[in-house]
Amino acid sequence: MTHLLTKFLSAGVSVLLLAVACLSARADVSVSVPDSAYCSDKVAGEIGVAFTPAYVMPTNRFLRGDNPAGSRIDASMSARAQYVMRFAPSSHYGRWYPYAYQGLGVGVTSFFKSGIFGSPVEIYATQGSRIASLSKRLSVDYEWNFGASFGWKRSEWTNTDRSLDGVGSSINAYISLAFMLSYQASPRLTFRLGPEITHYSNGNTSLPNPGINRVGLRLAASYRLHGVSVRSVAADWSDFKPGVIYDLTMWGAWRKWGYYPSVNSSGAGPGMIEVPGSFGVCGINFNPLYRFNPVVAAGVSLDFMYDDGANLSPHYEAASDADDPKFYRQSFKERVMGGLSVRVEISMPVFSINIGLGHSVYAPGPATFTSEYGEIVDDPVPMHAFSRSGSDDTSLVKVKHRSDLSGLYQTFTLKTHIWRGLYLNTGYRLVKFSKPGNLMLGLGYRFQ
Amino acid sequence: MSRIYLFMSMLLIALTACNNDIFIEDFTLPEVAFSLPGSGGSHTINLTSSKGVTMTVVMSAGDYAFYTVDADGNVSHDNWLDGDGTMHITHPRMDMEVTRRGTSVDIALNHFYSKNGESVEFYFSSEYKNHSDVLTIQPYNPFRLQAFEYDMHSIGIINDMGTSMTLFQGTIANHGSSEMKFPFVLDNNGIPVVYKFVTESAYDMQFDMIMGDTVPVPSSEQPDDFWEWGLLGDEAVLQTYGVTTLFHYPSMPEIAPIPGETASRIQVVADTEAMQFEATATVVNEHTSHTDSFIVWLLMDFPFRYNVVRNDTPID
Repeated sequence: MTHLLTKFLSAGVSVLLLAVACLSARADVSVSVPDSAYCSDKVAGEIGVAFTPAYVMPTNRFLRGDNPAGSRIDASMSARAQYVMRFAPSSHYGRWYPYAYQGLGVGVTSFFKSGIFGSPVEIYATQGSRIASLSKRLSVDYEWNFGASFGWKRSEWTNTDRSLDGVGSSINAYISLAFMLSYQASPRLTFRLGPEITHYSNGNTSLPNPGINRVGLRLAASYRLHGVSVRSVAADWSDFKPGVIYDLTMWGAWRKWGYYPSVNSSGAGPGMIEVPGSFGVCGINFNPLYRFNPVVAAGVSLDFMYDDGANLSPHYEAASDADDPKFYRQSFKERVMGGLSVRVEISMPVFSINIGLGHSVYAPGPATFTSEYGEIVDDPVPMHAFSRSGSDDTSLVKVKHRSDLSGLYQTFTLKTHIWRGLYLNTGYRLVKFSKPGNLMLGLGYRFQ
Repeated sequence: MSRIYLFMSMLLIALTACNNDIFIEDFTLPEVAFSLPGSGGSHTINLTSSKGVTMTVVMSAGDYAFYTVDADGNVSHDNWLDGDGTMHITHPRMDMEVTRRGTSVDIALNHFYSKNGESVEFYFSSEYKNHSDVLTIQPYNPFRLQAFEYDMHSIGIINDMGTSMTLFQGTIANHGSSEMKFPFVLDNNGIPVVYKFVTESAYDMQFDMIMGDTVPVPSSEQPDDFWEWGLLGDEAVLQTYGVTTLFHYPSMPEIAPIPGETASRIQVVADTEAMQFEATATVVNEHTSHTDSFIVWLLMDFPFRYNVVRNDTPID
């Protein structure tokens, strides 16, 4: 319950702070601008609706038909309504990001087989901007949505191979990215059409967590309530000075872990089994970034994280009840990781998207332990339990277990700048591009 | 700003404290055995964890008394402790105190008197694991027999009907033509006697510790019914039961020579009488410098009459 509350609070706080930021944006004193089509110091506001029929990607057996309904889940439809605002052209944000808009939205998605997933409702923050102008009325835009979706029907379906599947939580994160052709039919009315990809996940805070991915075609229309449209104006970065900024972030979250019961015994055993309960994860990132321009920054981050549930397998007490597994406490060094990551950050008004690719530098892992397989046990595998094929060689050998925290990792973070240098950090850490990691929810401060 | 980071730090600490239900304490011992001298010594066993660990002290066979006080002050005579507490183990030969505090177990051995050494097992067990640490106590016998003084008045055991003891039985063949002296000189070989040392039970420990020492035994060279006993130099090993040889004793009867070409079957049987002597043993414990004196009774089956049965058969 606590982790659900945390996700809800995170999304809600981001949305609320965005609303406060938008509402408190002040109109600057008018500044002359090249395009005489707009000459306003007011915030522009729009309402919009969007419909997205989408194909549900069959990324797991549950979606391919191995589910209580016994049928494939491949079609979906979502409908959304949102309110967005643009900063006054004469304002600081308006000059740096003349086409950017950001706001809040609500939506609902149907999978047409609601007996399995239900019809989740999304509340999200959104931001978009222009990528390229094709003509006076035609442009290519992008828009991302990030929030939470509520009302999923929990499902812990045990597949034929005894792997656990379905959706493990009633609240999931909602992430969407669309690239659209935008046509301004009138000064107030704009139509958009383009592909959209959507991802739902609980960030490994609950099991199962297969992730739901949709690919669709967004049809959207927006109506400007006040203010004028920005037709064609170049960004004014004259008051921007490139330089280094220093972001210090502290974050925490909960996550699920699994373990291999047979790792310390001879003979093949079951695959990864879920460990009851959740584990706390926290970390600190120190990320100097060089800002090339108001949009793009890059740098290297020093990352430190603590994971309370890392490297449990070698510490499993085989004599404990299978329904109530017990573990001996891992040493502290098995629960920590220090790493370096390369970061790229795309900044727009209020929000920054930071993407990182890193590798562990310090992740000692556990000491040697006996394994049937005589091989280095790999990093954590997806939380879907599966059976490992047994080895013909049943002799015990000493092997070094690679730390669960070692290796490549990827970070995806949304920073919501709320007050001076303070920002909310909402991110996710992925391992080896495919293995689930953990959410990263926290606060940061930007030293300039 | 600092308050924000403080709040975050506390939140992060709280996050890491969740899901402790799956964890159990692991405990190991740094050793599996250790040794202490019987004269006394101390040792500390350091556990890596004490939560959920029961300590049991296993002694070798014997009448050991446990006085155990747990952390709540409850007194028992158990040989185990679930948590902190003290255990005082006593025995006539031993005094040891075991104190358990957290992950430390302090062992204070005051003394352990033993001739062959002893072992004490400290057994630690949790729900899933158990370990033993065996204490080997080196032999230590500080008891010395200082004096063994007899009251030479013998006491015949009342209602004792006596027994008989075969001193010699065998056939000797003389194939020669001339006579042959009986080849066994019985009188110079001494007279074997059966004996038994008994003491008061209260002094059994001291008696046990001096067993094996050699003590004088009464003997006499007078064949009369009322012998005059004295300590003439014969000895016996101090032990509960035994057979010793009295060299100072009325000599065996003469056995006539064996005629030539004769096989002589000879049997010498002695009728014995149980006699009791009282002695005062003085034993000093060099560990404590304490001296104990106690009564020791010597019971001996003395042969007092000989019967010689002989059957000569000519050899064809």
